[in-house]
Amino acid sequence: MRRLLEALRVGLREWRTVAVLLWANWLVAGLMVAPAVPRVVAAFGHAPRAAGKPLLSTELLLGLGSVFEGGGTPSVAAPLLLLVVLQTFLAGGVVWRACAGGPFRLGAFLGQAGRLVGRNARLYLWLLLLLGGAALVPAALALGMHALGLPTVFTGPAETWLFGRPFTAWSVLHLGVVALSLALWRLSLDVGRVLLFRDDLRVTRRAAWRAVWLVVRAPGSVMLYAVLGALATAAVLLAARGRASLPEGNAGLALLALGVGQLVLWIRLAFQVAGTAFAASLVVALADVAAVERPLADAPPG
Amino acid sequence: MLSPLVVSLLVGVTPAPARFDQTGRSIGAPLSDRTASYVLEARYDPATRHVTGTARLTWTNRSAVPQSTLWFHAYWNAFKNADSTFSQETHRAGGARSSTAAYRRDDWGWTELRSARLPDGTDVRSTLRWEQPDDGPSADQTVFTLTLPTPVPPHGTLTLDLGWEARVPKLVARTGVAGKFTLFGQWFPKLGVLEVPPQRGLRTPTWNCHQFHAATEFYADFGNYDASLTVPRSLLVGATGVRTGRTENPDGTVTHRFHQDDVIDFAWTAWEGAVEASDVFLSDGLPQVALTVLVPPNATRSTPQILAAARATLEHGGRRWLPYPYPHLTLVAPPISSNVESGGMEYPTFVTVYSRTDPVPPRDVLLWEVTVHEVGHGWWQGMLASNEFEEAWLDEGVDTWATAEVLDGVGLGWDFAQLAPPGARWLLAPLLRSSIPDAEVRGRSSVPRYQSTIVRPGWRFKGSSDVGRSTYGRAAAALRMLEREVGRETFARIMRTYAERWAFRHPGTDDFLQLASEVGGKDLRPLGSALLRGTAGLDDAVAELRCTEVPAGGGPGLYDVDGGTPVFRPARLTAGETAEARCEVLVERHGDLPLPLDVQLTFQDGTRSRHDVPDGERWSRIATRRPLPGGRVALAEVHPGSPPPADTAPLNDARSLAATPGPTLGVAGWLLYAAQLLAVAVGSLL
Repeated sequence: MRRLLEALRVGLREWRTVAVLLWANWLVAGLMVAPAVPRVVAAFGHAPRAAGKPLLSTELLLGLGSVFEGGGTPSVAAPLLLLVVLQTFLAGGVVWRACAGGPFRLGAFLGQAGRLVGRNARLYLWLLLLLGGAALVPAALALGMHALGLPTVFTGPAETWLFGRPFTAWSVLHLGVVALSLALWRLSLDVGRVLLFRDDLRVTRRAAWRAVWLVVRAPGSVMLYAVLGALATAAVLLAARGRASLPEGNAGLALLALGVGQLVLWIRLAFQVAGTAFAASLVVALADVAAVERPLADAPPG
Repeated sequence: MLSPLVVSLLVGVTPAPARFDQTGRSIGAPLSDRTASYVLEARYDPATRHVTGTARLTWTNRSAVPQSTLWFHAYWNAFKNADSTFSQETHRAGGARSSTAAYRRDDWGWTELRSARLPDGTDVRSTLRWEQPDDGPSADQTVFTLTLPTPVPPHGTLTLDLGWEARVPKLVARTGVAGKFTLFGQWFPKLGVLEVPPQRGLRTPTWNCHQFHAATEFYADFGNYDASLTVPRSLLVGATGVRTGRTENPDGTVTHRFHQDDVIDFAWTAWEGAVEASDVFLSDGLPQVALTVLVPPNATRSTPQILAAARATLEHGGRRWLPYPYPHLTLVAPPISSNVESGGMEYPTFVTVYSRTDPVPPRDVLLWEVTVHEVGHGWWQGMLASNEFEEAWLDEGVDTWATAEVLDGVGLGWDFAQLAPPGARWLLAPLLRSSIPDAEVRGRSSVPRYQSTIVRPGWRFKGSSDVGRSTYGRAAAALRMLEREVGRETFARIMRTYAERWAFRHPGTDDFLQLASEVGGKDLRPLGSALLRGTAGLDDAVAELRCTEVPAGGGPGLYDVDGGTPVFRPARLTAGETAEARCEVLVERHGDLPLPLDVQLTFQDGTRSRHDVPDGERWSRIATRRPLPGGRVALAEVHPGSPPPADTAPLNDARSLAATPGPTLGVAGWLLYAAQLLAVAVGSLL
């Protein structure tokens, strides 16, 4: 629990790191939206019948079909590809901030990111194998539960989402298993990145398996990491809910909503940094245990 | 429970005289011509999903031509194999509802005629011949003919005793079995319709009996239906008409008897575990209607809202269209997991609706919309029995218009927050909160071009979305276009007259347009035909609005002054000179619907000017020149004051000189925020 709180503190403290991540997010999201902006301006820039209308109305969001008729729809694939590259690049800098502490310098951040980007990319590819394995567990469980007539959100009839109760004790339990599987994988990825930075490992395959091994040996940490993820999800959803509750209708309110939206993103990215910090503290703790155990094991009998 | 009469006395309501007695038999003159009446007896074994039945058909030849060949539907053979018309069309076009594509060995259903005896004992079953009148696959067995040894003379009557067996399919297309719930729709051998001149423009009597298509509903003559349905005691039964008997049998079964005069079909459900509730619709001056609701046990909280929505529709329809004459209405909300497959279907005095485990109080739009819509069909198909195979808009389109009328009348719009699942509503509600009129939700198109005409056989649409969009929302918008031409009150009178004049008959598109023109006092047929029989859409737009400020004497250049040598005049104002605004408005027509296009310009000083765009022109540029201040065009509008409901992009109908940054920033900001959330969600896996 102490590690969890410390990780959260790092997430709060590393606001410059979060700002860099947010900048990357802006870049990707901006590229997604850029093709749509001329159409939006043309359609709504001098549209008195849209003024004062709520976003979820036929005049605005529900009328976007005709706005984008003939082109100008947001682009998704290419910006997301850029996101993959950017995120892999920035991961090294984030790990540096989570492990090393000290003053933030953008040059050093980017330097560490550049130093580790190749290894981080290879590590990610290795750990994709684990992602497949981790996904098999909840998938198999869902099928088993379905065969026993127990509902999950993935195997129930589609109508349940609209007419029934998708969230039952069983389906929430299954979602918990999904979250744990995801936490196992994601923590392994973070631990692997920490190992690459801390021990300057060159063989990424070895780093990947070592990370998995460390994580598997620390099930309590997986639980805590899942708690961290749940906290992140809850915080983001609450912030998103707050943003959605803002009044609408004019330019000032739209800008306010955009600003509050950045807070939502900030919270999520701060938790991302906290997750890496948690992995770093886990590696340190396990290394300390190993350091204590090794002399004892090596000591002559007697 | 108190009888309806006692209840009406207690609440001080004076209902209108009943048109049917408490056994579903008409009081006084028949409401319909009762062309095809049935006495049905059926025994259902849910263990084997087997139905054995008999039907005594009494049919009157309405034509002046002897008829020796009778055309019948055998609808359940649509689910007999993958080569049926239904199976092939659903595989090809897809749709919201499932098909037979995933059927396993025991899922298929069928119906088989075993005998067809005339009153003299002659069995004409041997003359059965499978027909494919719509050029469907030869394997389709959803239509058959029987040939009589002696033709039925003009206006003569025939009695035919049919014996049949059937296997109930797995629930598909609003019929079949899902767990302990069975819905029997289109379930017995049913006679087609012999259309007689001048019905729907015919010159000779013609049988109208189409195959069971994926995207069509049905067409039938009016008649009296009496059904005796034998099922195991554990099953609760709801059906068309009024329950007239319940007999316990020694073998553990119960025979439920129902009767209703002057209806076009009979449907029923047998359902173990359903929860039944009753109510009575009472309103001054309207016939009282007993209501029965069947809901799944986990959705009983929906019952009050289903009943309330039904009562609201009976009230609105009774006052605005035609008093609902039938004494009983059954509303079935299928099990939650079968809602999409079997909910939302109409049969005479028997409809399927939706239920929710946790309906949103006080009015859940999902429950209300479907209930209002299905009960509304009681008018637009149940009483005005159009040919849904060929002119589905007369039912679905009119009923979509009617649904919006009822929902508007009770002040209920679409709040998407209500669609969030329980457990997540508190979280999602702010994101989805909305209040959109029902008329704006259905059938909006993003382009002023359509794939198909609205009036066409249902199987000749391009796909399931095409048929749905055309016959529901687009058709309703077409009606509102006609309403725009004649005004709201006149149009209300049109619809009321249409209901009164064509009730218990078979109206066609031309009949409707003829009547609308007559009552509307204006020939609505050209516009109606363009909307219903054309593919042209409508998107009239103010594409540009620009104003520049120039000296009143003219822009820069050389000008004659007092007939002398040209004098140079600069672009800027000179001392003592006044300025004027030169504005240009570009109006464009993106669609092809030939609607008069008028433009209104509102100047900054509040004055207005009107301009007509000549017929046939696809664009027009309007130039104005007025002194400042106040001479700028502040607002340019097409169709001022009465935006056409069929306009696919109503937003561009008006353009202001002043920027409207609110909507721009709102939409662009929302898109950016959504993109950011997507990026951060994907980033969580990186």
